[in-house]
Amino acid sequence: MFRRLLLILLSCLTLSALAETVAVVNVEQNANFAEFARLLEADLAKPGGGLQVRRLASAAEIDPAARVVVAVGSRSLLQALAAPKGAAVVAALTPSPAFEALSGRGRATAVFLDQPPARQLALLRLLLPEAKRVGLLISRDLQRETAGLQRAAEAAGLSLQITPVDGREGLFDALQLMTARSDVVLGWPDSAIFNAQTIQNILLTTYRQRQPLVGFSAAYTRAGAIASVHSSLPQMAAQTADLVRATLAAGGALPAPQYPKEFEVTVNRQVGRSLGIELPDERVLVDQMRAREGKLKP
Amino acid sequence: MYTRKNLPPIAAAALLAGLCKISAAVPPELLATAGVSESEFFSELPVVLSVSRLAQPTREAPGAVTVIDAATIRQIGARSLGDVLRLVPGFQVAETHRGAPYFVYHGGTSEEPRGLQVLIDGRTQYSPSWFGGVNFNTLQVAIEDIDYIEVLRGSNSAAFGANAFLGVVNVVTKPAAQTRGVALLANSGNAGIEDRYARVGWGSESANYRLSFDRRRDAGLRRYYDSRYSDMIDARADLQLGNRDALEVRAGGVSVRQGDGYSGRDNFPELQPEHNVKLKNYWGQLTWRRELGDQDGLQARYFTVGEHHRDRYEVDISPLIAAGLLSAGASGLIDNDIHVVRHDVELQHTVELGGAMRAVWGAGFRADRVSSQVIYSRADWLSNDVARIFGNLEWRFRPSWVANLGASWDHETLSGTHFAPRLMLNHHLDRNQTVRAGVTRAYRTPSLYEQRANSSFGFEPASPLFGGLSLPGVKDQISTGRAKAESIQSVEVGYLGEFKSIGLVLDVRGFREHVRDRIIPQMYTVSTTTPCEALPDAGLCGAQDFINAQSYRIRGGEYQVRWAPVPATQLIFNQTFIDIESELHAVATDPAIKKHIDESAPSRLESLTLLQRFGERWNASATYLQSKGYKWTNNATVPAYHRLDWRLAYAFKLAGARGEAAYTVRADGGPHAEFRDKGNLSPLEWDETEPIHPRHYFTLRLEY
Repeated sequence: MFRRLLLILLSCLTLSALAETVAVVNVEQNANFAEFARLLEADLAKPGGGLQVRRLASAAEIDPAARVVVAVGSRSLLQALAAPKGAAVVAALTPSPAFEALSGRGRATAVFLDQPPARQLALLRLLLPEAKRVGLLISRDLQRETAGLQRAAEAAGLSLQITPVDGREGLFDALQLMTARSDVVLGWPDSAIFNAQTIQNILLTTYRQRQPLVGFSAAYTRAGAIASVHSSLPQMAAQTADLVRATLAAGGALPAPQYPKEFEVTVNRQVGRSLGIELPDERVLVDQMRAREGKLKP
Repeated sequence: MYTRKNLPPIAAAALLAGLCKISAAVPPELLATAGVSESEFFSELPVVLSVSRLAQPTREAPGAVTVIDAATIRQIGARSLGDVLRLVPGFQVAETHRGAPYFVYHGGTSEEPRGLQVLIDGRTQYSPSWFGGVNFNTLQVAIEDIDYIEVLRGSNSAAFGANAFLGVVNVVTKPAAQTRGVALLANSGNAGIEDRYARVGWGSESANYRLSFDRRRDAGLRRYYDSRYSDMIDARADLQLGNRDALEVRAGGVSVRQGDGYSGRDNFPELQPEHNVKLKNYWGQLTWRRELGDQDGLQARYFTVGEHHRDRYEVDISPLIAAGLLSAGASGLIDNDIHVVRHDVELQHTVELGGAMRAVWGAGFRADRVSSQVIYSRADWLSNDVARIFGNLEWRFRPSWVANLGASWDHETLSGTHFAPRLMLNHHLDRNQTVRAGVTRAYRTPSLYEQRANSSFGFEPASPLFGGLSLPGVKDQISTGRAKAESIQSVEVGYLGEFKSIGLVLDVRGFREHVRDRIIPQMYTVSTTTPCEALPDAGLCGAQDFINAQSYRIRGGEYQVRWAPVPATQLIFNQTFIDIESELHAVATDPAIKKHIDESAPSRLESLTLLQRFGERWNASATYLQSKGYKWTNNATVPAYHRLDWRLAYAFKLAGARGEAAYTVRADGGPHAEFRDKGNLSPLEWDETEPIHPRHYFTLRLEY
């Protein structure tokens, strides 16, 4: 009996030693990032999942026993990659170009913050079937990042009008050039071009030319974009949790980084009415876009 | 498909730095250059396209709207506002010997046309000086600064106050942020055409400025002393104060020297010798906009205008002294000075109520002061103030129905209170077509001249001359103020079809407009109670007063077809059919007045405009217009005419500047009259035909 008790005790101890530790690193003070970390922790620490989650404000505090480190945001990612630990890194709330620039050597995977290029274009085609020329403003040194977007545009039968911008002073000229040869404008998260200071000029200029703008966050829809497609924090947290579990299950091989799978669409009805564009219900749009993506997958 | 990329050197450096100092803060520049940052996904943004900034789509507009943009204005080579309005159905435009072209909508012509509210950035161009209308020579805008002109065809006092009698011409200038850099333009041609325009714009994300100089010169019509010299300066500042507030500041002035008078005729003394009238017009304006939330916005606007008309000249009265008609000491100095000061303030609130209703409402106050010894026989200031309250409710009560109910109530010191309601229903037949029907009542309040003028003609020492010859000191014009506002009741039906896939737009308006109490001049004996007609022998009757003694019905239809078969081509066809029938009332019996109004609009008027681009560099435009005959004045007619205007332009790049060279011909072909031709002119009225001859000019434009 004493031997049985010892066995039970030993197995309990081993079991607790076998509980996986996941570190969630969030160096940003931003409320959105904190909310995401909280949602992620709640999902991962579900009872029966066998996971221990630690939320950290700095990569220096990562437990050496942690198997997976989730880095929330690109600054967290930079820290996590620099820390010489053996853990696999899962990047979250990081846009794909930032992730590509920072990661390497197969140590990291991610759930990207930005939408796959084909998705923004699919929304565009659903709302504006007659638009053929899609205007895009981008900083001159970021032009190479648009390769994915160009391929998706070609596949969708759209002509992407890439207009490079030379610094803040060049925005005005680039706007004039772009609106002259576009039917619709695509908002792309280049913070040198699309930010709270420049959005006024951009929206007023494109509106005057009666060109709608498709944005990448709900704030852009409120500001005056005709529609935006974006993923909510709960959606991304759930997908990140799944990726963490897949990473743990995979052992040595890291799963490939992924774009967000679930998404939302917001539309601006006042702007739509003013431009004479019919805007279906937001849920109908999401369903239609999902159906299209489902068909394309092999 | 996600693909891995090599680590850019800067990110590798960052990584290295990170390896050495794990806990060091990461410089933001490294992250920014590493590509796209996530901050923009979560940032707070201002509401830019707010409810007060969003324009109604044309198919929901409560009336017929024609919009002409800056590109079209440039492509037709317009030199003044009248040149542009030839492209609007229902408009009659005439070049005269008074300077800039005159324009009216739906007849009701006159030597001082009234009946259209003309707004420049919200500032009314109606002037209380002289007869009280719009002075086409001192319009406060340079053609090159215009962003678009929105013409609302149809009475609309409910939204735009008294004087939006038959329609509204709303001119909007380009925002300062759209005109950065330097632009230069010069026109040079025959008939003394020498225009110069220079503009400089600069600014940052939150503040933009523009300064424009505009000079117009031309020698007017061939037979007249009517050269026009106009110099204008116009300044604009657009300031964004934070996320919610915007302030626009405008100031400017225009100074015009306009030729007037006639050279001597035979044995008649020169009572209006050739001389120059100097017109000065200054303005200042402040507009403040505030977004109160997602769904509502506030606008406050103040503007002030100062005007000075200086018209002084000497008449040679020696023949009259020699004939014993005048004493030896009489002076022939004529002084027709007029000073005007105006202040106007208006507050407007736009709010979206729920998903289906939008309301605009507000209040305003205008104070006008006029001083003119010659018109009012007094040296002090006369005043006329207007207090106004207005509102409009747009209600989309069904998916395909929109109702607009508007009204304004205004009270004018001199002419009292008026209430102007308006109802318009729009029904969308489908995505592309809308039909519209509505009724409205509008007013034109009598001007200060029509209510308070008190002038005399005759030769006295230092007394003004007012045309004609009579005994000294006899009253010529005594406005007793018995004239009340003219009113118009208008019923209209409309159709708008916008077929984007074939590039076709069809805009139709059918109207029945009934004008009552038209103000007409009536001669009385000096007592101002006995009309001259009542006398057995009218003789040399006395003073003129204004009374409401005419009514007329305007019936007809107008339409515009715009077709762009390919993006490089646009065709615009306008056609207007108008029939006017008038009646005289009270003591008025002069058949010339009835005939004038009956024939004040041509029975048919059409124009065809072609706008064509050839490749990237060349573009051309041509407008052919033909009109049946009509009358601008009591005693002369404009016979049927046609005219051709065309322009050819070439765009080029020169030393970093974008340029355009163009050649424009206006009124190509034989001479024709547009304002006055045949008539039964009495010897006193030596105004004869005013033939328009072709004008051609070169234009050079450079933009940096």
